[in-house]
Amino acid sequence: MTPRTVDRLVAGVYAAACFGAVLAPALAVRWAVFRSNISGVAGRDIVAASVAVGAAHAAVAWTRLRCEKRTAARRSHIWIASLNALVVLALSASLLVLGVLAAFADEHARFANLGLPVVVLWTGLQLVAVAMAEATGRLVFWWLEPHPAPHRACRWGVLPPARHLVRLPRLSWRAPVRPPVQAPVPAPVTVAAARPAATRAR
Amino acid sequence: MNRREFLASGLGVVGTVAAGLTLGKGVWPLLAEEDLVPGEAPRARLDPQAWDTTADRVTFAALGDNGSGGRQAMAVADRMAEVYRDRPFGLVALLGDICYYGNFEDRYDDVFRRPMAPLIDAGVSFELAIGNHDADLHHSDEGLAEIEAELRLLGTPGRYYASTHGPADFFYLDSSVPGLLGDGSSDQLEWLDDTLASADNQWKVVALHHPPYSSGEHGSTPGFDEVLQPLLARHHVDVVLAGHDHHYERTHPIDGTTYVVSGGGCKTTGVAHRDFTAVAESTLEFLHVDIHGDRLTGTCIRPDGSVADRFTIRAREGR
Repeated sequence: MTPRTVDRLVAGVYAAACFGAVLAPALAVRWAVFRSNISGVAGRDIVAASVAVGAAHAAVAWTRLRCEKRTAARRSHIWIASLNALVVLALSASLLVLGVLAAFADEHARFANLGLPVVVLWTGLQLVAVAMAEATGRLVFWWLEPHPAPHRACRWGVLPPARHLVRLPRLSWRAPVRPPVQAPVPAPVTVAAARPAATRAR
Repeated sequence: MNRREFLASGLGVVGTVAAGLTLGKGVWPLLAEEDLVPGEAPRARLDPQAWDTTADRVTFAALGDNGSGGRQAMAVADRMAEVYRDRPFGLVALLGDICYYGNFEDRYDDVFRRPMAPLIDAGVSFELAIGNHDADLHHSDEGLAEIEAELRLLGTPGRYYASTHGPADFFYLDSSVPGLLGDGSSDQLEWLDDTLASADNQWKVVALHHPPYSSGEHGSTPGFDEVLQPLLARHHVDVVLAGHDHHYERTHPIDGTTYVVSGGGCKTTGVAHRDFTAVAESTLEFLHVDIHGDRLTGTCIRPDGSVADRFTIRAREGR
């Protein structure tokens, strides 16, 4: 496999992981419905909403990876940032739903009474989780990349500069290498300066 | 690897492990167990007072652990309303835990008024055996205030009390601590002993939250086999209805008494089969009971209308 194919494969796996992280809480709720002998339709709206949000986010994540690949100073920066983004996505997609539904149960019930379908709330929470994950991914990537340097616009926002534009030394654990201090060079002795003053006057 | 790369990748790895443990062992199982998604209330219009309670006949329903106000609770309530159309009942015995995720005074509409609206409008009466989620297991001031609110809003006379419907006497107990166990439990036990002794109806039904016998997640309540079970056997109690564990279970008669767990009002948890188990299933459900003369017929009904269990008990059977 060529490096290009490997990159695409890994990006695809990452996008699928993002999709799964968004879908997982909906599947957990759906499992409860399935186990409880309620009619088969119940809970499908939530799964459908999560599929839509998850698919959209997978596409965004895929595009972000491709975009970052063109601009990254080091390839590892992309994957480190993506791992952090995935952790934030997985935690927030599930914990937000659990926390908000459990802590504000009567408020949600009131909304449901007013005719606001719960799927709207669910979708909103998942979109917040996706936004948090995307922000984390971009922030970590930006933090890892060498800077300051002129930024340039990308299709999905402002990205760190391209590799060929970066001319800064790489950050290192070691102390920065300083150029050796050179001793002052004495001014060259010219013929005019070497001549006696009397001679010059004449 | 520079310092930033080391920090970010370390954070990513630690986060992955933490997320895996948190989600896999905590959050996803909780989402699969709880009933957090708000549901739409049943909209059935029922004929008022369609039941027929006479000196030798009464029909009632028993429902436990239904206090979420979520979709699953609404599905069970909807099925109760549907069953009322065909086999009307004038009483619902609530087996505790009628309010989760908040206090009952705030959530009264969400967990009780809306789900039960068709039955309330039809004039069905509700009698409550308080549960551990209705207050703390050990009564604190806040817990007692919560119980007071429930008793007031449901018009329940006290933490433990008796009522009579047709040929059956009902005894509702407070099974929290101190209720039947621990310091201060003797008052209720003495009251139960006296009231059971003086009850002269053909059927005796005891309702409480914590099950004396259960094969579920919480299991049989420790101490009840010493304190409660001999007393129930001595007074020839026919049926004991309980909740707490979120499943349906019926025991073989134990000293003449059949113990039923009906805690699938809005959530489900797993259940095993033990020596005393006749039927057990992890499902949402409620129990419909029809007492006619010397025959009691119980039917456990799932939200989709299917029957999980049907049993018949003859009066004074096995005594």
